[in-house]
Amino acid sequence: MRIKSIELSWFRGAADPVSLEPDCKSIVVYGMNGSGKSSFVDAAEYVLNDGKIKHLAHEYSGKHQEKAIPNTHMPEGRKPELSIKFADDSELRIEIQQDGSWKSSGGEAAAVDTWDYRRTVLRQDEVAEFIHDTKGGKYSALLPLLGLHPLEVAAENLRQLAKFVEKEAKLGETKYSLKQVEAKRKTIFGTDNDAQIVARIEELHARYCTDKSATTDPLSRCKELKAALEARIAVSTADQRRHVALQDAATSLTQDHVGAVRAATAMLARTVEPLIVEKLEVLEWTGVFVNKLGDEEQVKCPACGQFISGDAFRAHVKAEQARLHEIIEAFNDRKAAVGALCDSVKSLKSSLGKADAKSWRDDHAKGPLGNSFAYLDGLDPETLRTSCGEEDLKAIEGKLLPLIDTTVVASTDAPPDAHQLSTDKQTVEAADAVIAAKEQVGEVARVEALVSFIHALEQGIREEIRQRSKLVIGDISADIQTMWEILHPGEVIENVRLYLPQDAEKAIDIGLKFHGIEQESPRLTLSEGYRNSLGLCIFLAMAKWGTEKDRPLFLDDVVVSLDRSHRGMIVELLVKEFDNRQLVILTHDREWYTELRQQLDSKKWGFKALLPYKTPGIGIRWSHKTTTFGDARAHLADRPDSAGNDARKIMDVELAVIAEHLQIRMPYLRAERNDKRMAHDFLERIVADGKKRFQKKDGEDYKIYTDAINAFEQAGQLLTSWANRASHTFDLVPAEATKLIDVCEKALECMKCSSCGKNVWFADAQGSEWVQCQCGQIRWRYGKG
Amino acid sequence: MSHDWIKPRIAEAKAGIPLVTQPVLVRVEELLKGELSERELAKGDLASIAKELIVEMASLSPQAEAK
Repeated sequence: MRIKSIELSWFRGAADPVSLEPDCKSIVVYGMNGSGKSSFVDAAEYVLNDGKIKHLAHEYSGKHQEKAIPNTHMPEGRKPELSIKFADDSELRIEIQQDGSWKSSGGEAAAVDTWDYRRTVLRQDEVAEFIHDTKGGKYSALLPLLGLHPLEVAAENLRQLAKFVEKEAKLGETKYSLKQVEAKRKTIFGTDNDAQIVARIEELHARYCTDKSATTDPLSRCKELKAALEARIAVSTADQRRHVALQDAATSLTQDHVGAVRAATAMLARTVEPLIVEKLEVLEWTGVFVNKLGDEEQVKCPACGQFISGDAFRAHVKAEQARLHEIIEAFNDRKAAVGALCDSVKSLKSSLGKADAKSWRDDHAKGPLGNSFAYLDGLDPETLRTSCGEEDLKAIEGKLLPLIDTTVVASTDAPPDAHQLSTDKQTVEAADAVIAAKEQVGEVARVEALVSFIHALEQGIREEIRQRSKLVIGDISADIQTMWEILHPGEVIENVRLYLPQDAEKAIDIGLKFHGIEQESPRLTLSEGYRNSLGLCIFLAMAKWGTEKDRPLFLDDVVVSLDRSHRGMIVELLVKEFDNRQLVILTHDREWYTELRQQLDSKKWGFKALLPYKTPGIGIRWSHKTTTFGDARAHLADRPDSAGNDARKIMDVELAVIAEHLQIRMPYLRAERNDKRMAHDFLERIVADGKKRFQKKDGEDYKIYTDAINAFEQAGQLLTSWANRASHTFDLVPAEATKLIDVCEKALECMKCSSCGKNVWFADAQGSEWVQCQCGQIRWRYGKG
Repeated sequence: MSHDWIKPRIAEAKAGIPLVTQPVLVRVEELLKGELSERELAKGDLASIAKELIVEMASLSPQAEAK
């Protein structure tokens, strides 16, 4: 959606409403530094960046930039306002409150909120920003163009989802519990295989469950066996029951449980302690890292604080991630070991709490084990699960292990029947766990398969992003290359392109060939001017690639560091590549403004000049002329010499461009003096040629345009006398300067038709020798010098 | 954005992981066409999807179905 006008009121440099009116065409705005050009760009940025202007984001501007956005001399009761009118006559209005908050209305059809600032506005200090940005920053800047945001979101969601699957399935805990079952299997069954364990169960089932011979499923047999053994134990003698309970207690908790927790804790300490030391360094260095990464060959890694080369950084981060995974594993192992210990304590409490063991317990509670029983009674296994420290382990070792030792002794002199029952009971429980674990192994395998699948899918999506990025980047690179060749025809810097670095995800960089040698970055070889030129090409290529082809582009003083020859090629670039796009070009470069004004098609381009800024109360003002004589007139009262000098400078530039259009042949001067001709040099030739070749319609015929010739002659005379005085003796008075400016302006106006408003070189007429204005009122015949 | 890429990428990720079940593949495809690609999901949403997929993994695997 093209812009008709941008109106500002008390916004930045503006006072009473002032309007930039491109009227849906492209426009070039000239203004000296400080004349208020950028206030219009600030307005565009304010709208696109949700009420923020980047160059005003500093500690002095206030939370909502309320100290920087209003005109410093805004009268009481007024508020900064801005309005943008679009091609469809819709209008976006914004009112800014005293506290910097703002409300907007209208402009929905233009969907300004979808315009990307980085592809709409380019300011002088942002030209090389893309080049200087990190690979990740470049990727982020290009991401909206790639249209891959949904894929990025999906990949990130999948990365997180894999973690959640592990967490929800309690994968770590289950794997540890399987380890425990494996250990128990070894203790009870030694090297017996699954079939032998099942055969053992079959044998016990046949012995204890004679009435259930139809049951064949091993797990069901275990269940039936447990019930049958419990029933046998229940009807056995009190002495036998006590021995079974004591044997259960004797096998419930071992030194291994305590040892496992201690080993896991030690492992954790070994990995975590150095990590903590390093992470403290991280806090210190993370802040400086980002700034350093751009320019330093060696950076201090924010993950560990070590100095490391940029190339090795990514590999190093990977290694750090592996370490973190190791620590997470250690945490999980410890958690599982504590869990196993707590389960054992729970089992011990249950065994010794049984009525069958009461008499044995009462006997021993009176002796040295009294403290152990008191400790066991007061111990809450669930509390232990959440806060098991070294003190707890010592207490368990000191108080519970002697208790276990005593139960082991008591259980060894058990009657044979009781011993057999207890052993068979433990065999069945272990077999049950081993057989049930087979199902758990299956669950773990399924969860691990799901996690692998999600990881593979995430990688697949990243590959999809990469492939699509390559295609888009290839197209953008082709545009960059085309634009670069327009700006730098026949130069030795070639194959300028964007590329995806092999060693990094979410990264884009710029490559080029410098005198035939491949370079990974323009920062290795290009001068500042060339970098800016490249930055401009990249911005324009990105802007061109946008899906919305009719959005305006703002270029604010972007040619400052370009030399004259490259700056001159920009017109060709704009005409070739952006002929159907609305551009708003703002410049303080008078010479370039003049070139643009003379070279760009006035059917598609407008030209406006701002007057120099006087006071905040007066604000931004437009000159009524498209020329830049307003600058000169601004000095008339206090500095007439300066005004006279300005007039001559304007004439130097304007006449140079006119001479080029009219193919006026100038005598050859040695070396660079050809490029430093003065206004009177041109006027001399224009007058000489014009007397034969500049014609104005008179009825049906053409006659020499004598009024114009006289105006040129008068301008030439005053430039030679008064303008020289302005620059050499500094004694030009205001009246003289005024006349000098008026005469110069009048002379230039003679090149423009008073009827159609077009310059005399607007169109070809009567073959290749003649040019004329649009209506043919004035014409010029190319001469031979 | 077209969804043409989803099926081939799912098939590619599935290759070599026979335990992944058909219902999981169907559900993941639905999710990629919808919420997984629309916004960064909150922890609660991720936990709920994770639970759902774990359950779907317990359905018969393609191999088991074939048998």
